[in-house]
Amino acid sequence: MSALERLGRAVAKGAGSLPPPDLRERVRSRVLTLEAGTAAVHLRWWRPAMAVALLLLATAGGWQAFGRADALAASAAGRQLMEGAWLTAAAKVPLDVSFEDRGHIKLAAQARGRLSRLSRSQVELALEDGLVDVDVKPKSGTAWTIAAGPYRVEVLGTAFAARWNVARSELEVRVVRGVVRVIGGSLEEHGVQLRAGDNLVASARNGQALISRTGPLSDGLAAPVASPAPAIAHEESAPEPTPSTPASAASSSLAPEGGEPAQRTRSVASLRELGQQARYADVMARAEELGFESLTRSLAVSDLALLADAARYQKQVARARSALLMLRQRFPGTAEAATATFLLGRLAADQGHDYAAAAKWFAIYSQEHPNGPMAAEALGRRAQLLALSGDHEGARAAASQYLQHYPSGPYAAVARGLRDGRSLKADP
Amino acid sequence: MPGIHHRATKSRSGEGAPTVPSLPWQGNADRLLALAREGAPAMAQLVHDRFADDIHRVVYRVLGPDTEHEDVVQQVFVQVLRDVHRVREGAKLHSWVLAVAVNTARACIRRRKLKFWLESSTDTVEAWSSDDDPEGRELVHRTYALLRELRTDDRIAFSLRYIEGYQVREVAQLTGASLATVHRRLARGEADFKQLACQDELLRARLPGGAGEPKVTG
Repeated sequence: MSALERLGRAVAKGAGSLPPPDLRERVRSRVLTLEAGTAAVHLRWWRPAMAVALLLLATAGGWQAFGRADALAASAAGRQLMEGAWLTAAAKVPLDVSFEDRGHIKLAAQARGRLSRLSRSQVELALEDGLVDVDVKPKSGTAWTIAAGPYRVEVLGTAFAARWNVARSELEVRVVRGVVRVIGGSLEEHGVQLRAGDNLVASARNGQALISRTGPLSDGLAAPVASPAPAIAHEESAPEPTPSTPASAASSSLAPEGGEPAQRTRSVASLRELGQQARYADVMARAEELGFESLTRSLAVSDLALLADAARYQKQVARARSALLMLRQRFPGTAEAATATFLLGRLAADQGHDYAAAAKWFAIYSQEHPNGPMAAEALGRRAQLLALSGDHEGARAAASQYLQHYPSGPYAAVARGLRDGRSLKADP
Repeated sequence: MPGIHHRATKSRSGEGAPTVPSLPWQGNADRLLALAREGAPAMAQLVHDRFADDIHRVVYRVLGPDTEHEDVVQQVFVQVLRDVHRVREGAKLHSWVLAVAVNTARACIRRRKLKFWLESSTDTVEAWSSDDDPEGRELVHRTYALLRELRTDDRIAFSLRYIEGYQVREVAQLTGASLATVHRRLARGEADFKQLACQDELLRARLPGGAGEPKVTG
């Protein structure tokens, strides 16, 4: 047997002989709706598609520019995703989906869905079944939606968990942070707005829905929920969650650490609200009133990340750098600290134009998180930045390293050029 | 299909996921063709249950784990249901269905290459988490990433020959090409694949002595 035949067998074994059963079941459902003789209609799509393609050939440059401008990078299981990607978590292993703008979706084991929209203006996950945890950073201009059966959960900067039980046609939503709006089904015309601590159970089968007030979320949606009531019922109109919520991963502990005076706690809460409304200039103004440096030493991890974001969006490079450095210093080993490392590189490159420093930060990220969600980009950008800073040997080595790990990655063409000694003209 | 094996192997990711009901076709191919010509009801179900696994497997082998797998397979069924009454002999039905699957996958690859040229889009695989064998999955990913760099017909011949394990004669039947053409495509595909594989550590280790020096493209 030749080496190629052995390789082919290993690939066949790794891939299995067939795609996942749920995918095949979806195909079966679609095929059973087809009737012989009527099927020809479905094949005519390529004719207008080809006509459009030929037209686009004439304006390919403009089309490319448009496509790149609206693209939002996302990755899962080490793969770059594109719009329409099916996401299937295995029986025992969740599937993490990371987005370029720091948004994050985790499909719990056995959950599945599809990225039906993926752009800077809109991200939509069509949840077919199972539980997802969503953590979206405030970012104006991007609409995030989870579609589940007849319902849609519309998101502003927030963290929440949603479960669609396809067998019971039942949606559960628990909001950890921020505000979401749920529309569809038999809910009110303009939907139902849920705030932190709210728990919604809505049944598409009998039209019943219940909103209850719960404690901080600590275990996803595992806790039992109340039975549905005949109409939307608010069990309790509780105040906003106190800042002293436990620091579980899901609750993200939006409060400053330690026993702060009540007045200061309220001020920090208002800071957070401003951030959730994407009012970053106001966030920075309020932070200066409260003492920016003091805040970086006292805020909880997610609040500090929010503060760093606000400073970056307002192009206050020194402030952003300070907050990001403090994230690394105070919360080592967390996802926020990892992201901070990457952002320090991006900040140095894009706003500080200090390419050598940026390359060092990307190197640190690659070293600390070789399999992290931004590992490929960190390696690719480092190669570019080393070239721009005049370290051509370093750039060539980094480019070779990139090609070794990501031979078909988004920086592959640039990396080949650097490896082969071509000069770099593009802006990283 | 004469000469082409029917491979019945176990799915790799069935744990915890819903299973596809098994509704095997009880009649033979001639009977199925007769029903198609009569315009019998429920042809979609008959055709699906008879050929679904074979179509899925061929498309899966040619494209790899791919976001468009579902749409491509549906297109295969659309064409099969539209044209099945034109098949004259039951003995040729199976090979004709598989050839439709190969041709539809080929059209998908070519369409995507055009789209890639237009949009600079990334040709991506489907993402799913796995309970087992991360190295095997990485091998699959990297192999199909390299196969995307090959000429479309070379890629198809390579996939069917080396990953699915068809004989050259069977590949010729499935692709509608002569034996000489398939040999030529395989030779070119092998050479290009080895050239690309020598730049990939994981694949290079599995092709000892055959990869040669990296090809530097300017």
